[in-house]
Amino acid sequence: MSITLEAAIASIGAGLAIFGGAVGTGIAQSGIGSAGMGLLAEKPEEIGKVILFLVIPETLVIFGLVIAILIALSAGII
Amino acid sequence: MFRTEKMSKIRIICLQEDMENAIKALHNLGMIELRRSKLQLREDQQSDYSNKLNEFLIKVDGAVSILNSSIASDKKYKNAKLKNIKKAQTQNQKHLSFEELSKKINSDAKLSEVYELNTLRKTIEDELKLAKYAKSVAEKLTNIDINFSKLSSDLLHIKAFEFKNKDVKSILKKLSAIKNIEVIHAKNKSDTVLILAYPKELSLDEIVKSYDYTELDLSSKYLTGKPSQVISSMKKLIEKLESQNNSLMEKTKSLYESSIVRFLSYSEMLGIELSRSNASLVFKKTDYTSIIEGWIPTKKQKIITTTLEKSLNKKVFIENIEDKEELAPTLINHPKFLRSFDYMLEFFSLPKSDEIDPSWIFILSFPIFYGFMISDVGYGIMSLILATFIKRKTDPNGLMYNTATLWQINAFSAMFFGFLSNQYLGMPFNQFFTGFQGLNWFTDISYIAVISIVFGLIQILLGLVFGFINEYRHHKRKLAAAKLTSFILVLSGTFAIAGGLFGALSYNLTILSTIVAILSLILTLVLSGERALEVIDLISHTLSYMRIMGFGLASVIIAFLIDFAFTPKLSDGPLLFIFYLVIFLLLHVLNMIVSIFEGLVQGLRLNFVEFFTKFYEGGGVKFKPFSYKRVYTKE
Repeated sequence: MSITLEAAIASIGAGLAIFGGAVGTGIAQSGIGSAGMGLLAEKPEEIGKVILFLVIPETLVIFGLVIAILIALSAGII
Repeated sequence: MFRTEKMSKIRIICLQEDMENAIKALHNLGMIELRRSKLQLREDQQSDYSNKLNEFLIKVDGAVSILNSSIASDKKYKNAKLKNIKKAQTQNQKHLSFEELSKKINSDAKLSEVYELNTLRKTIEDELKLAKYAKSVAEKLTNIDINFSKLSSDLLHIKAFEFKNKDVKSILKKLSAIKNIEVIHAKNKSDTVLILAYPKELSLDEIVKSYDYTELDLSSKYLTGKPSQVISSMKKLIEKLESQNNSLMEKTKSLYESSIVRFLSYSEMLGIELSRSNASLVFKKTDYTSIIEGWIPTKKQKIITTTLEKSLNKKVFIENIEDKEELAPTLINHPKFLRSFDYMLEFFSLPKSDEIDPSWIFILSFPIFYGFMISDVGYGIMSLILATFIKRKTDPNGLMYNTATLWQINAFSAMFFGFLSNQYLGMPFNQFFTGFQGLNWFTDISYIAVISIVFGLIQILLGLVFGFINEYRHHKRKLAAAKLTSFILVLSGTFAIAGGLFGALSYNLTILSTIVAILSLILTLVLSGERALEVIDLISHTLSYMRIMGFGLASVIIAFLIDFAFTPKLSDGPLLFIFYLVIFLLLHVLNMIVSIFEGLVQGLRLNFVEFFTKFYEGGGVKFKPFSYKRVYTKE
């Protein structure tokens, strides 16, 4: 199996797009998660809202995924 | 379909002498949420009757609680309790008036017996605790020659401390530096007990507290004589007390069997009487009439009027009133099997009674998103089994039970999309019974991305339409117009991107879409005012639906990798076959658990965040009718 230089660079770019989104999500979720746990210690009934807020930053990694797919599509990788 | 139940506020005026009958009729109907009238009239304070009912209720509920706690750890009696309830449902006790009920409760010897037995059991349990403690202290001191009876003095402190063996040397060294102190050791396996006798004016706190220690209480009434004597007498006493306790436990259990249903029927009757008595305090009064107001489902007004007229011999006046200050409570009437969706909606926030009720969109879209994200027949079947198991083990009103119900319903959707994707624990199986090959998550990824975005567009556009209706209803014309222009922006923007980036439309149509998108963007920004930045959400929220593809792809790829690495083969020999089979199943269960959790959270999130934020205010208050539920009694 051979791979062109362009495809390799595009693959790295797609990977970096996901990487950036995932790191961003992680940083945001760590803050929300710890605050959420603090809230749950006081008010366990608020678990629904905590989960909801916790998953909101996941949009960042989805953006990363979108960019990665766009790169992969334009480079003809997928 | 998109409205909560229509509610009306009514005012009921009846003669004071008929008030009790009116309350009874309304209570039996269970269709009105009572409100105190805002008319400036006289109102009653807490009545003696309510106080008496409360007293009786505390007495009866106390006995029920004692009986329940006495059998809590005994599965056999828990089952007996269920049987009793069933028995009660077939042999209902007729509802008694308070006079009859109070006489019956006062003369119920079994009720007093429950309290007497409980007091006795508590005394025995306290004695048992003391005896066990005395025995344990004596056991720690068996290897020294002391007499507990002589361990008291007016001039000396005589205390016993238990230290770790490793600390004893250092403590003894410190104690040897103090004058007038007598030390007796009793070394055990890991601890050493030191009995110290020292003058009362001396304090050893400073020395002792720097070590890990436990002080033994030597003042127990059972610590008399030598340790061996204490151990022997305590053994006999513990045996005797345990036997007494067991016999009392048996009596309590027998009381439970014979009386719990009767006590529960008292509690039910008292509870009903109390809520009626409390309702009478909500009534306002003139010299001859009583007045009450309340919210009712509009379609039930006729039946309420007819019933009240019948119960009060037509001596009742009912009128509809308009209350602009108070928002009607929210009543959502869905079929019973959809109750878990309502629970989730309530968990988030109920719609207000005057706003669009999006629950049907939620009920339809949530299983679709979930199913598309899981897309595996095998995972669907496994999650169905897991959810059924969870439901059997959890409380029907709890979060886990309702979540499991959603998993059960959504499992069918996962199976359906699994069939469409030809995924059976990550492997294709459709070829064995149909020629349909379905979507391929590896090669058809661009189609799947488009499907995800289309799901998003449908929900976002629908959300904007709902937003337009809500704002229009609330007379916020400018914001309503902003929702409309946002709708046009999303639609034309989609056409512009489809034409410009992917060449899906003709050149002219693409240009036209772009111009419309730019114009609607400007209009939206102008009309939205301080909420102009929400325009960005239109793009981010639409793209956010790509998570359906993202999480689905992750689940499918992991399943594929598990199959690639661990599919068991008979050619590997029986041992390796079993080994691979266990790993294969474990990893699939793990992937399934992660997938169903993500499917649930992301499915809810797409509805509650991306969809609801376009129109939803929430904060509705659930309709709580003035009603009761009878299990042990009948009218």
